[in-house]
Order: sequence, then structure tokens, then C-alpha cells
Amino acid sequence: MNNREAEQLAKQYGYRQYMIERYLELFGSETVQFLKGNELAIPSTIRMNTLAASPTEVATRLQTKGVQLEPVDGLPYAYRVRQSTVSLGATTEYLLGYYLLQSAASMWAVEALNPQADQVVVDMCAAPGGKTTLIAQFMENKGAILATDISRDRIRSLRSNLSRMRVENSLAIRMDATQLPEFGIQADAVLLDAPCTGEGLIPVDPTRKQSRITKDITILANVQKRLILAANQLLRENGVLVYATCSFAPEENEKIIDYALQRCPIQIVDAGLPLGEPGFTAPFNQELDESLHLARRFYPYKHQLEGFFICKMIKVAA
Amino acid sequence: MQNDKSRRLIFSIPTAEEEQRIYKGLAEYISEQKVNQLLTDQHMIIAKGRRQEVYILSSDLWRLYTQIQPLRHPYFIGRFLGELTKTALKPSLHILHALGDAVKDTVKVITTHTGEQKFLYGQPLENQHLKDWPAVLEEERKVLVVNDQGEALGYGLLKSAETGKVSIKNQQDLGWYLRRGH
Ligand SMILES: C[S@@+](CC[C@H](N)C(=O)[O-])C[C@H]1O[C@@H](n2cnc3c(N)ncnc32)[C@H](O)[C@@H]1O
Repeated sequence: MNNREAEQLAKQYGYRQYMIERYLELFGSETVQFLKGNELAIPSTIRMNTLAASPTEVATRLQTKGVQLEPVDGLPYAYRVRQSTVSLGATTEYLLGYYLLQSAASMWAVEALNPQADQVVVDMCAAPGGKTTLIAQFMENKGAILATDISRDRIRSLRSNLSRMRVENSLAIRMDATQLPEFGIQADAVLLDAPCTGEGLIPVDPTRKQSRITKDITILANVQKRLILAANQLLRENGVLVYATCSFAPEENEKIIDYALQRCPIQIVDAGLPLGEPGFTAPFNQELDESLHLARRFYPYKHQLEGFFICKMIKVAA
Repeated sequence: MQNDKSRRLIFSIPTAEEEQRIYKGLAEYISEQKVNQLLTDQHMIIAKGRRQEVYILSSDLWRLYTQIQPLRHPYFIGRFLGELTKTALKPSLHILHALGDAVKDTVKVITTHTGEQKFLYGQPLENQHLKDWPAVLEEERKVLVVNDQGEALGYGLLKSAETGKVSIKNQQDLGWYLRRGH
């Protein structure tokens, strides 16, 4: 029965069938709403760079250029773009690093991390740097950020964004972040914005309805497990770890956290976000750690954001 | 430990001679007092590869750098002060922008709104695109091109003729990063 329904929905919405089968199991009667949500345009958001200019002044400058903006609740530096007659990636203000085009979901991940000035923060999978530059903003360019990424191409974009956005407290290295523990750093906060299948980006990139197979989930979950173990090693006691992905798959989210909880002295804490659905505690009938309900999931159909997963943890005494 | 092959860099602290060149380059654009302000409490390092890039670091970042440097070379660090040439430092646009009004009038031309747009598309400028420029008649002079809010847009070569005709050749502008694609 589910198979027939999955086949029909896959055809109707243009997905690979395995994806729909999984959604039916995870979301049950809300699956169609979920799929419809993925068809809706997500409003673009820009994030003002308080390291370079005053947000209200920049908003006024953009408004005179024909950009209609409205503030985003809970994110004082973010504006939703209601309409624009100019390309927001090519204005003088953009080139001067006064703002960045960034999804609000990404900003919430940094809100959960809540990095402080004078801390040592590690951004393990940092390129192209949307979150690193916001971390620097939270830290008022003080303390130190270690930002790593494995990709040769993407590290160039990271550099370019760090420079444009006036980040002065970062050290970027192209490397496999699983090797970070070799430095012996005791970080106050670690962001692991893990590489993932990226299903959550379907509303902005519908090719993702077809571009992945189930094997990709397994491969990426293995990378994510290695990365989260490294993240734990980097943290000092009481240090904060935020794990985030733009995937809906529990194998890349709750199951990774559950795996880490069983192996590392970490605990899930409430990220204090004013939105998001609780994480799954028994996806696909597999019992996971109860505290996973404190993790947060964003869905296009519920939050008008890209699909996203955020889990905040702290390191406790071993 | 392997370094990124595409960017084999050697990091070092500047020698006295290199430091002099760095100061000289900055002093072309800002007062000595500003140079000192900029560099106070900062550590300076040069990344030597195909080009020589100068970075400045706070003490917190320096501490992290010293933990990492024996094992890996950074790709980017702190504030990019500029590129060190054989004669002087060429300050980065972001540094000059951050210094804003402190940049000397004698090395600055101010564009109109149309001039700003043209320059950011990599184009040259003439009298009608400019609001102000230094009153010098020299063969060619390197200038900082700013918009009428005083924001640094790029570097140009200023040529002014006795007839009053002025032209600015675009040497580098902020839009270049965008045109390059990353
Ligand atoms: C979701 S993206 C990061 C986006 C970024 N945090 C931002 O906000 O702009 C994931 C990144 O992980 C990087 N990556 C994948 N495997 C990695 C590894 N083993 N070590 C470090 N980075 C890795 C990818 O190159 C990619 O840039």
C-alpha cells in the first residue's frame, strides 16, 4: 500500500521513490504537506555584518536602491528580502562586506552555538564561511576561530568571504577536520556543520530530488561519525558542540548524535531556539537516546526555512 | 605534515628590512601615527609563496597560530595587511577601507555614483565620473579610488594633463573578486 502511494507521489513530485518511502515512514499523514512545502519558494534573507557597518544604515541604503526588506524575528542582524530590483550579490554594499546572503536556518545554528568574544572556537567544515563570518560577528572579532575545510575550491571562497566580511580573528586551514585533534587544542566551542546529502535544500535546488541514492546516506554518515568523534576530542570540559546538517535523514542527524552519546562524554542541552520541531527519538522504529527530543528540526512546510537539523551538546567530565 | 600543494607557503616574521618596506607602503596612504595605531599590539607574519602576503594577528590568534604552525600552514590568517612587493607594501583594500577617512587626500580620488558603478565593473574613469582628485600633474600616480561615502573601491592609476583632462586606469577593484567567481 505504502509502495503504491510512494510510487505515485514520487512521480507527482519528481523524487526518487526511496526518498518518498522514507518520508512516508517519518512523516506519515503529513508527507504530502511536507512535499508541498518543498515546492514553495523560501524567502531569501541577508545578514548584516555588524563588523563592517550599522545594520540599519545598510538597510536604508539598500532600500533606496529598490530592495524591500523586513526584519526577521529573533535574529536582530537578519532581514528577509521581500522584493529587489537589483542583484543582491553584486551591489557596492555587498562588495564592501556590509552583508551576506545567508539562509536564516544557518544563522540559527550559530545562535545555538552562541560563541563569545575571547573564546577559542573551531568551525570544522567551514567553507564557504557563512557561519564562520557570523561566529566572528558574535565574537566581535576577538578571541580566535580555527576554520577548516577539506575542499581546495571551497577554501578559496572561505578566504574571500573572511576577507570581504572583515573577519580578523580567524585562522583557516585546508585539511581533513578528522585530523584536527593532532593540534591538542582545547576549544570553548565547536561547530560541526557536517557535509550531508543536502535534502533540506530541495526548495532552492530541486535537482536534489534525484541526485542522491541511499548509499550516499551511508557514506556520509560514516564521515559524520568520524567528524563528531574528532569534535569531541577538540572540546574542553563544559565546552559547547553544535552539530548541524541540511538533511532530513535521521541517519545523518539523530543517529550520529546517538552514536556520539554512546562513545563520548557529551550531553544534549536545549539550544534555546524559539522555533523548530523536536528531534526524533525513535526514527524508523529504532530507539535512540531520549534527550534527542531537545534537538531541533526545521522544515520548509512548517518554518518557511530550508530543511535543517541542529543539536547542541556540552562536554561533561569523562 | 603535507601542505596544500596549490599554495606552498613559508611563514616567517618580517626582517627589519621587510618591516621597513611594510611601514613605507602604509605611510604612502595613511599618517605615521595611524600606521602605529594599526600595528600596535599586533603580531606580523609574512606568507611567502608566489607572492608575499603580510598578515597581522592579535595575541589570541598568535597563540593559536603557534600551536598549529609546527604541524600545518594556515591558508589565511588574521587581517590581510597587503602584498609586499620589492619596494613597499601594497595595502589591501579592506585595510584602507577600515582606515576610512584617515587615508591621505593626496592619494585619493572620489567618484560620482556613476563613476562608482563603472569602476566596480573594472572600467576606467574620466573627469565626468569624478567628484574630486588630487591637484597634481604627474605622469602617472597610484591612487585609492573611493566613492562619495569615502568607501574604498579599488586602486587606479591617475593621469592628469595640463588641459585639465583626468583619467583613471582601473588597477584593482572590489568587483574583481566577484568577476573571478569566488
Ligand atoms: C555544509 S558545508 C559547510 C557550509 C559552511 N559551514 C557555511 O556555513 O558556509 C560542508 C563542508 O564540509 C566540507 N568537508 C567535507 N568533508 C570534510 C572533512 N573531512 N574535513 C573538513 N571539511 C570537510 C565540505 O568541503 C563542505 O565545504
